[in-house]
Amino acid sequence: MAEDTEWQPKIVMFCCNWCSYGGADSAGMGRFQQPPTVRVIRVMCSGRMDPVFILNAFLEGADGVIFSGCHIGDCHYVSGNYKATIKYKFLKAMVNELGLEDERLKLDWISASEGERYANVVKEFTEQIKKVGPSPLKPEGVI
Amino acid sequence: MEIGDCYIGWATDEEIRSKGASGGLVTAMLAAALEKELVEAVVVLKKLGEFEAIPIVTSDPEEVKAAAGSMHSVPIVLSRYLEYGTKVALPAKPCDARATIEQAKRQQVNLDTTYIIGLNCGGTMHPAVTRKMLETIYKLDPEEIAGEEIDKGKLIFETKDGKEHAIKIDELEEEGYGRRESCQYCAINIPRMADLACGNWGVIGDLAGKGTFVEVNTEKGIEILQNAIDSGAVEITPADEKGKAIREKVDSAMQKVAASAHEKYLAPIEGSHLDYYMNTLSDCINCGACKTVCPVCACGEAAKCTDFYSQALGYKMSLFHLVRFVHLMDSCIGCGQCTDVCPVDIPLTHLYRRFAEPLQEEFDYTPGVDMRTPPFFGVDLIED
Amino acid sequence: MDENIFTTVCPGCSMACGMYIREKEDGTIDIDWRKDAVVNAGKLCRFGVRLPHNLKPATSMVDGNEADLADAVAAAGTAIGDGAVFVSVGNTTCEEHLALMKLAESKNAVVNTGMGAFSRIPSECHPTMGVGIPFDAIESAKKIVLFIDPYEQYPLLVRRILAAKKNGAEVTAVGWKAVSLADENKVIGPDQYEAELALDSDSVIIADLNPSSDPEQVMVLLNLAKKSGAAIIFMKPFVNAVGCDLASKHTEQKSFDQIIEEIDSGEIKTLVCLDTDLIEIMPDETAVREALKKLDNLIVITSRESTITDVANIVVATEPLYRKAGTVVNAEGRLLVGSGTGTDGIDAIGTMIGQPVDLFSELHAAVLATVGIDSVDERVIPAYEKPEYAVMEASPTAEAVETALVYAYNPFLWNGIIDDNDFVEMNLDMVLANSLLKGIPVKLTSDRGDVMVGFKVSDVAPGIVLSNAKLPVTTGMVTSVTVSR
Repeated sequence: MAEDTEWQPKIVMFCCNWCSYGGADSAGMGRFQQPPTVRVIRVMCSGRMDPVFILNAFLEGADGVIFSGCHIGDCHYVSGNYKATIKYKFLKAMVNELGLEDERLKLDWISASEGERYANVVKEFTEQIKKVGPSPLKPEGVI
Repeated sequence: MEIGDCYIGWATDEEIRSKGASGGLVTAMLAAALEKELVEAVVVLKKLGEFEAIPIVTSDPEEVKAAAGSMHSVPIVLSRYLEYGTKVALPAKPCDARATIEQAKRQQVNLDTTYIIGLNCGGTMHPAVTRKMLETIYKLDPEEIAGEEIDKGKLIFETKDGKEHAIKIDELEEEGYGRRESCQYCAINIPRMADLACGNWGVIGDLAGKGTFVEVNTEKGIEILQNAIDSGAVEITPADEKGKAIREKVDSAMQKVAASAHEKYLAPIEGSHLDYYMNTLSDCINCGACKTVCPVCACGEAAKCTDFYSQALGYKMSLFHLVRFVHLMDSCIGCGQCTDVCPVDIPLTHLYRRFAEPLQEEFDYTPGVDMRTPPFFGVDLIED
Repeated sequence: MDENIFTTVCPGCSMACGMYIREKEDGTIDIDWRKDAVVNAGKLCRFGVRLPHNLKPATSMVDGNEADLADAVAAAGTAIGDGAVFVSVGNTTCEEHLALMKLAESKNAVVNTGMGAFSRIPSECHPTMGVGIPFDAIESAKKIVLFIDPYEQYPLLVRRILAAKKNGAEVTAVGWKAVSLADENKVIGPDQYEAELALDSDSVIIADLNPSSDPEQVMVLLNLAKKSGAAIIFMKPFVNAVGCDLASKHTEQKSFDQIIEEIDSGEIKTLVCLDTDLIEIMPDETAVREALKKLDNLIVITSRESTITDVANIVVATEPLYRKAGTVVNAEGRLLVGSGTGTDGIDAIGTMIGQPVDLFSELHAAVLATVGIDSVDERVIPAYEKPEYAVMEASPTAEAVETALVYAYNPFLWNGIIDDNDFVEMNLDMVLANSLLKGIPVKLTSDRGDVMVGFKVSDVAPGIVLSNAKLPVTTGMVTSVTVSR
């Protein structure tokens, strides 16, 4: 295999159990092409996303973080994704003030049937992160 | 008596009147609340020296009377000393009152049993800074000080020989002394969120210096003031319109000063924000004092900021601080306790404010002024 | 709701930071910030903030059974005979230390303060080694040389050094680990100090003096100060180490290494420890434990439960420092008095001497006389005479080992606190060379066996594994180890 010299970002993606994780599955089954940059972590609901998870991901060396859940109105727990929206606002404000590039954090809604959309989100986000480059918070020695 | 009423009041007891600030109304109300068993305890500052006092929770009216008098050099937030369920009264600067309300939202304090007697506040000073200021600017021996007051923009120290020494606060702050930086840009001077808002602004004519202006904000406020009147400890007379107007004028003048201090201390960060925060936090020794002392943190020992973080992780920034930044975005009241206790002099209050202000503005939320749920937990805020 | 509030100092190290302690009815304590404290403006480090977790009151014991204080005192009085050896490093007041000195005198002995370096260095140097300079003077220095890691060892010095930097000071750190506030970090040997550091009379040297300090190294630093005219302050790990040294007037003492050796060889049969835990203090814990087993009598007079109280024959439990009446002298030479009024410890020792009443006032007067003042004012540092001394011959020997586990004698960790400092530090090269993985402990092997411990990547010199905690494989300040996964 030819060595790929282009830098590949590391992206952590939190998917809710009911929609987005299913979306990731559909993307695989549908064989939609996507870059190998994403590490998926399943959470029961996007409302479960604690800001600590996201901050921790950045500090551990993630170049970008996506968190994703059911479309508004479709939450398995009725209002989890509303809560996710609030948390996202907090985190966006946080990331902005901290001076970490805005592009490194993304919230998106992906349903279980949206395999192609899942692949596209990953593709687009990877391109976006490639443009901004490695995270300045990456610890010494972490690739 | 109704909510919204304004009075001028004073203590009937000669001793309290002479010892307390502006007629001793607050001291007399607190003592009367204890004596008439309206409350079980009162939180007051026990004076240990001219620049030193420690909060105590006491049921002894004599200790309350002994604590009379203003103490601008003891910047402590009292809400930490409240206990859930105890019927208690406390004198409260705006930050004390706001912290108490935030603690109530977190079930640390029961507001129904807590009487908050608000005190107007133009700012407090750190004792170490005060001492240095006395030596270098006033050229006075700190041990010779017998009292202090803030009047008409001047900080006045009285020495034991009875002389007064006044210097404009602006000039002091220009030199890096004077009030704590967080107090300089605090825009809440009249504690309208408290049950009563007391202070000497708006006391004019014959009563100037002898009475306290008091605005009644809640039912509990009526209760504690009426209790003091009924027991004969306090007398009041309605405040006149002129006094009210003057009080408003002082408040808005103070707010203007605060706004310019805000521009000074929270000026936009030049260059990379990330570098700024990394450098500013690089001296952190992980003592945890900022969290321990924080009056709006109710997490206790097992908290997210501490449990998920260890120095061994070798992160470029401490997760402890990042989590605290997020947690305080909607709750920081800017009381300045964290900066006071930071052993490596990190200007933590400024940092928390930088994160909190844009968000509190976005959600149009001011912590500690009412019982509104913090936005982080308020799903109802989302419009569809 | 009822509580007693004490104005006191933090018992952690010789900064002696001012603080309040709130003691509740059930005996539990809470700390509070004393913002008017002259040493620290109320600020406290991790140790001070967590003091309630770190302080456990002692219980009086005789031969492994709980006993009344009076019975323990009586048993101790009988057990302490001629030939007993006394140690007190300064975790208690000057007065209590003096009481022990009286007891020792009555048995024709001295009290050893553990600072072995004092006895090996000419006496004219002792005042300079004992009392340092005011912390305020650090802020006005033009140049500061650190032989300590202020962040880990004496955290409340950090703000002083930062203030000095704001005033234009240049800071150089000499040591294994890069100190982030230093303008320059140097890993250099004693023979290079003079040329590399370029000190003058506006400079301040900040070093550390502890029971395991190499006297030769101390002499090198004294020489450095002497030749350049720089001021020097030796920080000490015990709150009242300076006070004890002043009180002891540097009587001919034994180092702790010597004492352990003599216990091991059977020369010493009775050891009396006043608020001193040799197991905690000495780097080679195993050796100390083995030696202590050979004693006929191990008598511990202490306010705090610690490792040594578990193995002592007699424990005389005294009140905690915050409740004691008496003075403490910090590294600046500042005398500090708390609001405590307890004299249990002094009275206990007094009973052993046969003078059970009012020993305190006599001893307090003696403390003031030693320093040459009439009353204690925490805001005024008494004047101390520091005689001139001559430059000394000194040749510190550095053990040459390939990979060195360095025990970074952090004062606060002697209390056996495994907090979140339970990791070693090494540089990235060492981590990569040994294929260590993030989050998985590293294995350190010495003659003593091996230990698995977490690690952190830091800016540490090559070949150095730095540990703030005392690890079971430690045999001295420097231990030869191998690193593996």
